[in-house]
Amino acid sequence: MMISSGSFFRCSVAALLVSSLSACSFLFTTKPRPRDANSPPGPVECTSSKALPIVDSSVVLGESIFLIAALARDDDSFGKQGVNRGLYIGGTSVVAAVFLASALYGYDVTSKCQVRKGQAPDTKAPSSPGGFPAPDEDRGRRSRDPDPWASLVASGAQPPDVPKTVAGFSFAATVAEAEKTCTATQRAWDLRGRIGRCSPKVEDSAAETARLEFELGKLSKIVILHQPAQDAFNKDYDKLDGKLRVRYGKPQVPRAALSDECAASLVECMKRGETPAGSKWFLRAGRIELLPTWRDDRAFIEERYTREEPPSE
Amino acid sequence: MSPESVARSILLGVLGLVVAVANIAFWMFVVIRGQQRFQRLVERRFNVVIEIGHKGHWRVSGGASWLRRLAIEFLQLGYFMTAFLVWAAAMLAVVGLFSLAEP
Repeated sequence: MMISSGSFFRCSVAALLVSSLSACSFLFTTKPRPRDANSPPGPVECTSSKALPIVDSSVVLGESIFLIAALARDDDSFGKQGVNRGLYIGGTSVVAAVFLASALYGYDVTSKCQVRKGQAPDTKAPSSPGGFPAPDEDRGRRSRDPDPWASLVASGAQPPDVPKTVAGFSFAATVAEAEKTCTATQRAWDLRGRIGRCSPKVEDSAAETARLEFELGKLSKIVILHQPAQDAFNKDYDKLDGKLRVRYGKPQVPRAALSDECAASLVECMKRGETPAGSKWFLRAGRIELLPTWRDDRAFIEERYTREEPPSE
Repeated sequence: MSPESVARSILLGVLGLVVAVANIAFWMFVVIRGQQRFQRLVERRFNVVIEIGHKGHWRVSGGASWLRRLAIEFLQLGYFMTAFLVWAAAMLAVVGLFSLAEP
């Protein structure tokens, strides 16, 4: 099949335009973060899917075809189109080289990630220094995973919903609104990336720290960090669990039974690296979790409120 | 008018309607669902908060450097440019199809 010079150039320019918009793997693959030897175990946050390097590879393939076609043509056929052959070949080569590098980088990152995930499939993300935690791992539910909302649907009962406001913060608030709420309660506001932190200005203050996660520009997750004294930790954990059970009923995922050591002192048990799983309530438009956590050498009880739509299938 | 040309005219009308509906559906997806998914992807990748500002412009916060803001600006532009190119390619195919059915 013969392709006319005009359509050849039109196709080439279109391909150049599309491909020069981005090098997928460079932009969208996430490297596994190096893990500190002393950090607690956690899920590996990185890109394991090969989709992006495959997209890059296909761009390299497409550019190579245009490059070969351009090399096979003489200067005259380029001249008729008013295109500089050298410039065209140079441009195509540069784009192909950028995408080749991006593809190689992408394959390297994804294979390293797959290895890391294979070695530590059920671990938790390490927290970042300075008491500023990384976002909680919210892995998307796969179709073969059990539907946590299924029991709600089966029961036919109208379940309670996630509160619209938690500790003064409204879901769907913007960053500016959340900051205003925080500073209005005489607490310090700090935003790093998608995570906002509203903490008491005085360390010993009775006010609690709130960690706020934003998604699509709106507040989507509110975490209240309780930090009871070591001797009152287990009692406060039970009290909070009881309070949530009264309000939201029996959790769909009850908290794990505590070992003898943890039952004696949760703080000591978490210090040794044990992290007992907490309770989870799946509600109409979100979920609530209550769990003990160990971050930056301190024990916390995290009360997490997340707004999300139940999966539609 | 021959029966064949009547049939072709009807076919063109039906095709036109289908294209009109598909066109609306495509741009609705690009502007609403697609953009939302892309926004979420960019937010997670670059660890920033993106709010929708004036006329759909992305407003970035969360301590991003000016270079990152610029990159995100281009990504939003790139998203719509890609959608436009896909749309243009589909339109070319549709025009070709229409010319085949022309009475």
